[in-house]
Amino acid sequence: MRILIAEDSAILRDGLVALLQRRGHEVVGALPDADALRAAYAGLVRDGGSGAPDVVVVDIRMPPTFTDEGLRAAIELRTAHPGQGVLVFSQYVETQFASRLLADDARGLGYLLKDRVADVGEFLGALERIAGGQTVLDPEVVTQLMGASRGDDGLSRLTPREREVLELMAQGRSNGAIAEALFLSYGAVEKNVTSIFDKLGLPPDGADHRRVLAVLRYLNA
Amino acid sequence: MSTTTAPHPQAPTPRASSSRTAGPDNPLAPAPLGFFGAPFRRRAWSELLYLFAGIVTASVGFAYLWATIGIGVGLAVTVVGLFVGGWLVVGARAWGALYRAMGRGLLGVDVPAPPAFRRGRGFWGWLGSQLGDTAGWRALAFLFLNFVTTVVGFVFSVVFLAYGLGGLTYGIWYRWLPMQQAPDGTMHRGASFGDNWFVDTHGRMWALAGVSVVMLWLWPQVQRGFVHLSRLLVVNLLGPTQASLRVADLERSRGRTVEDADARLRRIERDLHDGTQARLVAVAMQLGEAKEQLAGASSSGEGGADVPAVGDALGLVTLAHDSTKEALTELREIARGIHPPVLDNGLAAALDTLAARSPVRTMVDVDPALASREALAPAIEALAYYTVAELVTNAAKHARGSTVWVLVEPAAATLPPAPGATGPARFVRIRVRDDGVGGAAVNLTDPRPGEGSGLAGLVERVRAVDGSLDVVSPAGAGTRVDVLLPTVVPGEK
Repeated sequence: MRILIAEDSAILRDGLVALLQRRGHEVVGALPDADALRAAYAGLVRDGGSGAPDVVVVDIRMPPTFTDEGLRAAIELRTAHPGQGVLVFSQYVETQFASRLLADDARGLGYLLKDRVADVGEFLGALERIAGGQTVLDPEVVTQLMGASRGDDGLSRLTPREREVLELMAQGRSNGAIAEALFLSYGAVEKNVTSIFDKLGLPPDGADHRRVLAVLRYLNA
Repeated sequence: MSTTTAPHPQAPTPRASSSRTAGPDNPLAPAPLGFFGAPFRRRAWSELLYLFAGIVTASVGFAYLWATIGIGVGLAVTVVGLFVGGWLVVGARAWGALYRAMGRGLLGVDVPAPPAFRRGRGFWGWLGSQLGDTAGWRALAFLFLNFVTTVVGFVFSVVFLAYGLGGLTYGIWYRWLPMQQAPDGTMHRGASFGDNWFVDTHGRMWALAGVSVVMLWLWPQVQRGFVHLSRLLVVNLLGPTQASLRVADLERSRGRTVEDADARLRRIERDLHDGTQARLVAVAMQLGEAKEQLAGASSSGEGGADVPAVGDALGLVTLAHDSTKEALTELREIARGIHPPVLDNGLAAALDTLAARSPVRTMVDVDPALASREALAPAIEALAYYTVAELVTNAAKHARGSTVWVLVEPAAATLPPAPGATGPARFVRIRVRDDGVGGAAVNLTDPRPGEGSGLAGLVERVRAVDGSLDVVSPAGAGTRVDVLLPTVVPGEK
């Protein structure tokens, strides 16, 4: 994979670059702030550049204001280049940030806590899923979005089991992975997923699309 | 500030305002003017002008004083009468403002205005704050005393000046005086002292001129004495009192303390985020990699005898890895408790996360008028956040209800005035309501540790910025907490 990184902490940035390179990935740039990220991305995608990276990894809180520059840069990037894989990572999960990030098309997007880098294998897996166009959300993000959407009727009708399944769907897991995680049979997961779609009133046309819609249902609730 | 706590030993009546406003020439101890030059100085004439203007204003002011007493006492039997009286007391401040302006323009004393009037809460609070308005009563006392000094001073000043000027020019105008007959039958032209002593000889005229010169030179000194009395009255009765200055001073230092504490918490959180947390993430990442490599080595089983050692190492690294991840989680919660960084994106963004993480259904509504970054001072924003957090936690723990509603909106000021405090004009109201069992027994005045001590601590923090917290919690009908906070920390600009 070709990866572009924006992270203001030098320790973390260097560690991340070393980690990715050891695993045979190409880091096409490692930058300390959002403006440098915009410039580097523009340099990559212009004529004669080496082309868009598979995933852009961006920290939310960066100079100069240390609030949400990274998030704004990520949303800008996604608006200008729909489908660009972006992983937003941060020390904190904020409900409003998640809602803003996932307000439009959630495909190829990720929002993870920085802690998740510690589980190297899972982190790389997440990067690959994002590059493949899936949505990857931190369990913490999902919990918060579930919490924030407690007022919604469609979601409140879900059984606890269906909630669990939806939570894992939101993290971008396949039905097989969900079955494994919840100790369910593949068929049982499928049954739950269909039931979720029904309860959320999602029309049956192409299961993948409905999966994304179901995830989005939390976010816009 | 030491100037307000330690009165100036020289000042006859120690008011901090005098020691503050004293410029190069302290108005309370004016440098003596040259005796002979005095009548020609601008100062003597501006003081005369002050007395002239004063005789008019003092008379009207004196009438105002009696009207206040007459109307106030006369109508006191009716509540409306009390209000009229109260308004007249508060209205006396206008006289204070007029005299401070006159003092500034003509006497060279710059007296700061007393703290602005603040209306009490509720009908009786309002009435009480009016009738008990210290600045108003002091202005009324000033009107009385100043009337006396102005009238007497005016008479003395005019007599000395008129006699001085008249006597000096007597030699010119005496010839137009009518002829008078003395008891012995002789005719005289001139001023008479008694009925037998006429100033019509050259010797007497020169003597009169001499006396007049003395009176003319004495005029500014006499006038200054009376004007000085007036000046003392202005400084001591129309400025802020020592107590009110002290209150304003304490308010300022308390405001600084509140803001400093908030700034320090922000800095600690930033340092944690940029330093410790980033470093821990890097360590966790390296441990994670080490773990994977060791796992790979132990499963491939190369090197035979080394395998148990590799297995031990893997166990240790796994333990360290897990501990590091736990430490990260704990550190995140601690940092969030110190200062949630999302507050920099506004109260609404921070409360959204708070609601989403709350164990009970929490509906948050923040008025869009509060969305701008300037709407609330940072320290107030943080206080508002922790107030909501504490109240929502309380509701989740004790109310046993289904939902908590949080409403944050701008509000008008209806707080009782702190004596002498210069209060902020705008407030933010926080309402936290639940549909639980109610009956929350909150002992705010004498909190016992454990029971409602979290709420009591909250009340302390709210009061530190002159805010208020009211709890309404009838048994079985849910709990409602109303918090009113100023939009800026009092005492800070």
